[in-house]
Amino acid sequence: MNLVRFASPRFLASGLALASGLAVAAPLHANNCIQRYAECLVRASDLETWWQRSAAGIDCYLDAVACVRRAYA
Amino acid sequence: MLALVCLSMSRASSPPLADGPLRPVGDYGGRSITATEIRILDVSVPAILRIDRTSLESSLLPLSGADAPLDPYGFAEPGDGTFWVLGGRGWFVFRFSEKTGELVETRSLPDPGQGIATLWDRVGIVAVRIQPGERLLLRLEKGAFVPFSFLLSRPAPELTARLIRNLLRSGSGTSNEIPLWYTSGPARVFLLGRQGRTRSIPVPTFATPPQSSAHDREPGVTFTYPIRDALLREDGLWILSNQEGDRTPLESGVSRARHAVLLRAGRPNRVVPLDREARALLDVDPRGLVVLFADGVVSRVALP
Repeated sequence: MNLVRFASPRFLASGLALASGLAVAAPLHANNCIQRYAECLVRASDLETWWQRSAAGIDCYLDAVACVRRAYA
Repeated sequence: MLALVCLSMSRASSPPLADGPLRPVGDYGGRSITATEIRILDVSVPAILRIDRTSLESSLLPLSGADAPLDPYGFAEPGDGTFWVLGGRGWFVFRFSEKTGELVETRSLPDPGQGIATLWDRVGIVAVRIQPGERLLLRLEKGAFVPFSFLLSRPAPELTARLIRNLLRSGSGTSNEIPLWYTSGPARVFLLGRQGRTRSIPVPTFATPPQSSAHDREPGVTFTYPIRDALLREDGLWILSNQEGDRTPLESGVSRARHAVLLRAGRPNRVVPLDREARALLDVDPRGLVVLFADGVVSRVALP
């Protein structure tokens, strides 16, 4: 299922922002949520098109939200 | 495959409500309180666990039909005969019948949610925000989610810190106000009024700020996490602590959620020590505080 088709343009643009500076998002020695997030963003930044990078960046972010929310809340 | 089919048939043919002794909660996903019941979303089933407020006897209402995993991000009951639950990491809202637990409707969200709650007679969603300065709380009005209240996403120097800083949670409220709090940061609860205004209340904390420089530490460890739950009653505000001491919830040896505190205007705080880690404050009456513990057990704790 392509979830990005549901996203608002504003949110998608934010996803690109995520996917552009990503490799330096977090140190790899960080806890599991953050480490997985950083690794996910690295993979996202390697994707070919703007849409793919944006979509993958958003997915990484939402995975991290779920992980961190579960861990800290 | 045969086993799966049998399991599916068995699940489908079982009655939606199964009365019995109070069962442990597998994966806590939020709660609500009605005049007679405490309702808990358990996304591991998934189901709504309905607990009688007096006897603590329970029944289970399985939720069926969603085509994505349900998120443990709370649920809403706006009085339309359905439970509203987020799923698919906040991309969808699933509506389940309060009577049968069957899926009634699926909606997709343009901005994914990190939380969902009943704002009196409406559905409220806490949106995931990436940029600072955006409205966090939305409310369903005339079929669309529109900004409600001026709680904004907060800035942070980098992405992971921004993510952690903008987790906003909600607790149980009254007919006038609902408590909200940021998962990380100062020990402060925002009481949301029916018109969307908030008033900020400092609350006691058992968390100690980190000692070393932020540059030396992992992103999640540079914050404190003072509040795990809030339960507002007419006679005061109950808070469940989260982090206790200087170790954050993901660090080894952490102590968390071992105290409930009642704040009342003009009176000293009432502190209730808990014998193990708690997850949520579900109810309070003269017999005690009904607590969901981290091990999934619901029990009544006598007030000292």
